[in-house]
Amino acid sequence: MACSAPSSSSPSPGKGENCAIRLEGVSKSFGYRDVLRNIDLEVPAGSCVAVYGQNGAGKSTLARIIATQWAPTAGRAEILGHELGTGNRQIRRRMGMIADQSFLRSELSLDENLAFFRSVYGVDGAARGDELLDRFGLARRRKDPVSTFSQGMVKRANLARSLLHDPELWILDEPFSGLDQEGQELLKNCIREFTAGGRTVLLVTHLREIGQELAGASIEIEDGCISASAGLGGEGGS
Amino acid sequence: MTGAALFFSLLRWDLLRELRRREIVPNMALFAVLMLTIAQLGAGGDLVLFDGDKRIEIDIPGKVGPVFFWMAIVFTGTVGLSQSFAAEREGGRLTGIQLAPIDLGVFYLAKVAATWIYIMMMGIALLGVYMLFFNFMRWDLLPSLLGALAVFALGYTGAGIILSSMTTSLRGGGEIVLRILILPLMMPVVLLTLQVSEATFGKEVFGENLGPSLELWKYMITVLSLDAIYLTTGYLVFPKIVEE
Repeated sequence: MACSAPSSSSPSPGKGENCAIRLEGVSKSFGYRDVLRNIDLEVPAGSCVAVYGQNGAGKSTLARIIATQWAPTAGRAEILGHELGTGNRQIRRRMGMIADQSFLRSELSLDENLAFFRSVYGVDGAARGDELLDRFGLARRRKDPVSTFSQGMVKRANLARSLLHDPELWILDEPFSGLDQEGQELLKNCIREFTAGGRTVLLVTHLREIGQELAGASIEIEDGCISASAGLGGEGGS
Repeated sequence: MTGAALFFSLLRWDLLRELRRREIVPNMALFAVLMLTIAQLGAGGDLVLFDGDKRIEIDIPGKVGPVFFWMAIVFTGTVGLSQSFAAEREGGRLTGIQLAPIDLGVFYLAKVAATWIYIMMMGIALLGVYMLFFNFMRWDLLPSLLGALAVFALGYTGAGIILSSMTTSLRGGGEIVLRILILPLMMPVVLLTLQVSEATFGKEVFGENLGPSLELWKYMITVLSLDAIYLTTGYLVFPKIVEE
């Protein structure tokens, strides 16, 4: 069974050159269980696309495949112009991700964590980190170990971590969970600014109101297939 | 960032983590010292035999001590290996590394280097206890013994990190599976290490099946060659294990 974003026909060569994400027949299985089936998707650069679906529908699996964490079982994908698999390192350099885990080292301070990620991403100087800590209201706790942070603060720290290397594609898997009202507004503004700067956001959420507020396009995943989509035109407008 | 700069950066963060948490080295050292204490109590003193009027003294602690020493290193090393890698799975740290634009082989080498340092620290602490318990006061042999420990630990961590990267995701941390896998894999190196006991401990150990004593330089060359095989295989295989 083919599961495509209905408004977007199968991608053809030469089309969608400004696509940030392009999936063709992507499937993922774990053992005998098919989690994603034959997904076709084109996400234009500079857009925010919401991914909805119930628990276990395959939203996070899709996000992880696009983030290069997992390889698809079948199909091909092109992210930011690089082929998934062979171009993973180039994709990772230009992609930031928020997942259910923070990736932060709890015994290190926030400053040390950012220094660690600066070193692995090859980011020079601490200015970008300082700016993000100010932005997310974490500057006064920068010297404290992450293990002393509340869940919401860890989430904010994680957001700062994911933006440290100034990515072009931001993959957000349930980013609003654990954030207070102020934090949610802060994140919404960040997403708006991010896309206004011509960069792309893939927002995986079960909060439709927030998705509708932020995303110009959306897809619904049901049982591993795209069951509905909106705003993803043939020419890739959002 | 060059591979070398990345290697030293990752190594530094690993060491800093251990410095803050103080988990791996104290755990290993405590386990090793307990093992050696029990071994020393079991070994007892010298055995005296009489052949007619001839008195024969056999230095039992000296003959079995090296075996206990290496047993303690091998068994407690598995604790360090699994803890060192399990720490990377906490909070999705490993995923964070995997999603960074780095050569995962360099991460493997940094992890091996950090764990090698932990095992060497445990080994040196254990050696101090061994000297007391087994009355081993051969200062002249210490460089040889530390050299043998260094090359042994390098191959051990090289193979062990690969195995622990596969087993720590198993239920219960996979420590048992790690032991089942690493001990046969390290058996050739363990046997060579026992064969070199005369050069490192000043005495041949019991065990006629081990074969003749090995000279230290031959041991070093052989084990370093095996280390190179373990590390090269690990460098090439590790990214594929982590990616899936």
